[in-house]
Amino acid sequence: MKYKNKFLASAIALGLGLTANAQNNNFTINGLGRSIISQNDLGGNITKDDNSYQQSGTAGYNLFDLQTNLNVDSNFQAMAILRAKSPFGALFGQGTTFDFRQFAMMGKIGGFKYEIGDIRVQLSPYTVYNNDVIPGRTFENALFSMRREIIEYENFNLGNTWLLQGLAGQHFFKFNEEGKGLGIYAFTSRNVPTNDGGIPDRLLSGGNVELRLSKGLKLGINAVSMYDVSPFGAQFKYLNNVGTGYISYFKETSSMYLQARFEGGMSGYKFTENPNTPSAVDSAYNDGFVDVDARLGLKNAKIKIDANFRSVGVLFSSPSAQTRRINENAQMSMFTFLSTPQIGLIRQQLLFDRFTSEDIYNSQITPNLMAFLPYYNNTNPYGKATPNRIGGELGVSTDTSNHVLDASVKGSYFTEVQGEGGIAKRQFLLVNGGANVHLGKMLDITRIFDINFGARYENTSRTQGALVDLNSTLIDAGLTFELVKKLDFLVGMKSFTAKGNEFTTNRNGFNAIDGFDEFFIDINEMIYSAGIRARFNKHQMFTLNYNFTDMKNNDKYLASSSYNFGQVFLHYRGIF
Amino acid sequence: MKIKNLSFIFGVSVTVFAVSCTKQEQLGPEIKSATKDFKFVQELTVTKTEFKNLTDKPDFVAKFNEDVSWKLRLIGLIPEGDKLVPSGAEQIFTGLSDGFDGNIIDWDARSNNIQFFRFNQKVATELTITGIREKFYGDTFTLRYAIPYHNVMYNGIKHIIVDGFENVLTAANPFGCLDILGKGKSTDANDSDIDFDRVNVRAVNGNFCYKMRGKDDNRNSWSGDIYSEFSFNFYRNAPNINALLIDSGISPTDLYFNLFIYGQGSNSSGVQIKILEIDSKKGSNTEDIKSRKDLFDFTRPDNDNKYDKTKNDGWIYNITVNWQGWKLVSIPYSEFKSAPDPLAGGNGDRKKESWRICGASLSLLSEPPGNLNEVYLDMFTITQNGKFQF
Repeated sequence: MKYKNKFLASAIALGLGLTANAQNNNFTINGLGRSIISQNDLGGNITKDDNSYQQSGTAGYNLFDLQTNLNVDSNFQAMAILRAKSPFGALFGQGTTFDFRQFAMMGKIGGFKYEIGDIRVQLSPYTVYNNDVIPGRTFENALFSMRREIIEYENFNLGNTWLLQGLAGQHFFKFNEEGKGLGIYAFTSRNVPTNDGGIPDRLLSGGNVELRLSKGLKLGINAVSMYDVSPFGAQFKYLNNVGTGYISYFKETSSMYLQARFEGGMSGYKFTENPNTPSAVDSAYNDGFVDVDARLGLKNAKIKIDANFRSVGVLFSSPSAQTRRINENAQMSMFTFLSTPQIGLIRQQLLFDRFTSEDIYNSQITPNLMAFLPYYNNTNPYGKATPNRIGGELGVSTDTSNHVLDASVKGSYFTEVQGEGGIAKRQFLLVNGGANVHLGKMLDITRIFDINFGARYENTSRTQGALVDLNSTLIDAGLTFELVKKLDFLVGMKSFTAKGNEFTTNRNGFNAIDGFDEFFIDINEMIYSAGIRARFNKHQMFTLNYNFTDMKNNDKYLASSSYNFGQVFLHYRGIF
Repeated sequence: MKIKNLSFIFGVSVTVFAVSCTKQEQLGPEIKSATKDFKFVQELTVTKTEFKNLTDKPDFVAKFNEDVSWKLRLIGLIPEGDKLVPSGAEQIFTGLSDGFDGNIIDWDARSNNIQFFRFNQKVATELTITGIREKFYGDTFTLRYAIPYHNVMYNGIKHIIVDGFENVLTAANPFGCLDILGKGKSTDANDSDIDFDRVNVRAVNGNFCYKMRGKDDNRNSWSGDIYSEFSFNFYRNAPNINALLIDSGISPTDLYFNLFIYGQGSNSSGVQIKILEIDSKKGSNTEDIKSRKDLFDFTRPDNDNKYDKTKNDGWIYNITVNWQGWKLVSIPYSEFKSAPDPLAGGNGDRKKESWRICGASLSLLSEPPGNLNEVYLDMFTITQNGKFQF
């Protein structure tokens, strides 16, 4: 109760105080309210003979994010998001939490822009970049993308930015009115706090300098460093530097445009144990990458053609570009165990979990390469900065001027730069594509009538030494139809199959490979979803749908581990 | 700038990159799959049915017709009903060869994870061959040996068991938990659902661990503790001053308190470790234990000296137990803060001196107050010059 009172008092005081003191200022509030209730049931072979663990449950929460925005003048603005969240079924506020979810101050002094507090940072895919490495988002039904949006909001994922706590500043020195000039951007943030003992502060700092030679030609450098600020008696000292240079070129005519970008750079890693002693031990390595991107846009045909070549060294290390936003080792809150906790048979993450479970996401930049499940994405598990890859991509897609059809197809072929566990190299083939067809617009009817379909096929192979042959296929299909005004019927399906063998890589604390574990897989996961969506207005929405996920294990040694779960999902979201 | 110039820059960059990249033959240890002609020359066998001691261990033997990568997994089993199920303890050996025997695999009963192999435990053997989906099983044997952890060095780190919660005094566990269970248990009478007891489920080592459960009804954040105020046993077994367990002059940054804690994923559960030092003899207001000799003399078995917690130092560290399952927590003594209550360890000389350590307590906390909490504890140890090795 005390917390509630404090929260209400703070909110009122903040509002009144700012209103009183900021009569000439611009004070606004906005926010988001969300309510989620889900009823989940576990079934299938694995539950047949054993009901000693949780096989059914109701979950959910109500939350309200109040964002206060103060705009004193161009020199100073501030933003704070206060969150009240209560678990579903909490009586009289028990279990309700009140937090400051986000806080930032920003402004512009002369031509210098600054941000302090929670800042969003993104540079290039090799320096600071929060990769979306979960397949199947482009051509899925709104029932699934809505779930992703919840997860992304809850985990502070916005585009490819990382949300960091620190400060940033930027300035553009304009040389002339035609756009020539020099832009400078720098940031610093704290990634890990010191314990005032043997654990040092770990900071992430970096920036960008870009020279605009003309409207279509830019040269620039990116730099980012993750480093320890060692207190006296620190047990270790970590340093990782990445520096890149790039050239960006753009040319446009009435019928086409050409974009080209080259980026290349190096990374340096150094870890020192007992840095303040004569027996200090260093582990260090360097490596680099090159990347060439090109896009040709054909305006009359309303298509664009993309090509990319890249080579990333085996020891290229860039934590703020290679950290994954999903943690493969995290446990889901729903049906964590497929046995009693004592036996500890932990349920493996399914595709369904990867876009519905808030608990498996990661928002912390990690110095070591995180584990990944190869059958979900083996070609680029760490995005473009995935080490030990050389190859290219070629894609064709519709451009944004095409309002009836949104379609693309892309093929990728990569190999390892050096073999793992032998001189033979893995080869990766990835093809994905699909379409969102806006039939309503095509047929010139006012109601929403969309169909979507997509497919993704990935093959990994190694034909000598330790043999690898892993195939995975993801198929998406769905339909959205506006039954009556602002009331939609939606149905979606995902089919994921994975079959073959592969090796997961064990790495030590210095990112070096020290072992492999072979696994065999033969699974088929089907996800069906159907429901209705009421769009009260542009900002308010209610969805009721039923999801059924059937995980079939075809491996003869693991056939009894097949299971399914059904989920009734209610979701209300209001933005103001 | 013309395209020609861009091409030049690109070419130079690629060349620089190609030259500068680190080159190695391969990454990681070499691995090789079995060919379709793979056969066992000798199937997996275990040469003894019991593992009694380190000088008379079973050998693990298998022979193949070709070089292949293999993985031998030793799996600890515990009974559950009428079945044997994995206890969680396991050890893995890997290699690339046409077989293995006792010269290649030398196992000292150590586990590679947080669950220890236990005395009298059945151990299963499982062999996997790279490239073959099927697994091959050898004989199950009985482990009649346990790795000693008391007053032994591993990797240059000295280990001292404070309490294994086995309730037996053995060479490996000289304190058992007689002092703690027999004399030192205190629970909050105003709390409900109190259950502080040794239990034979879920232990990481041995057969028992210690369960602490209680609902903090009176919202004082404390539901109870187990303690061993001046456990003279800690010193009584020492035949001379040099055999006192904690070395003289060990820095608080090099002395670790290690505790295995099983959490339930709660956001309110906590465990407090309190370490007691002796500065003064009973009834004395001065620091009259001035040397290890004073300490040694004071703790002789024929003395009936008592510890007075109102005249001595207590140092505390609170652990938030917000994880699910077992976890080893290792805290350097330098991280402990002085106890605030002058009647319970907050009235010594306020100097942290490792050699004066003479007792400990473990408490169940609720933070925020008012919640029901349950944790399990096992293998409370002190280590010098590093964390607990397992």
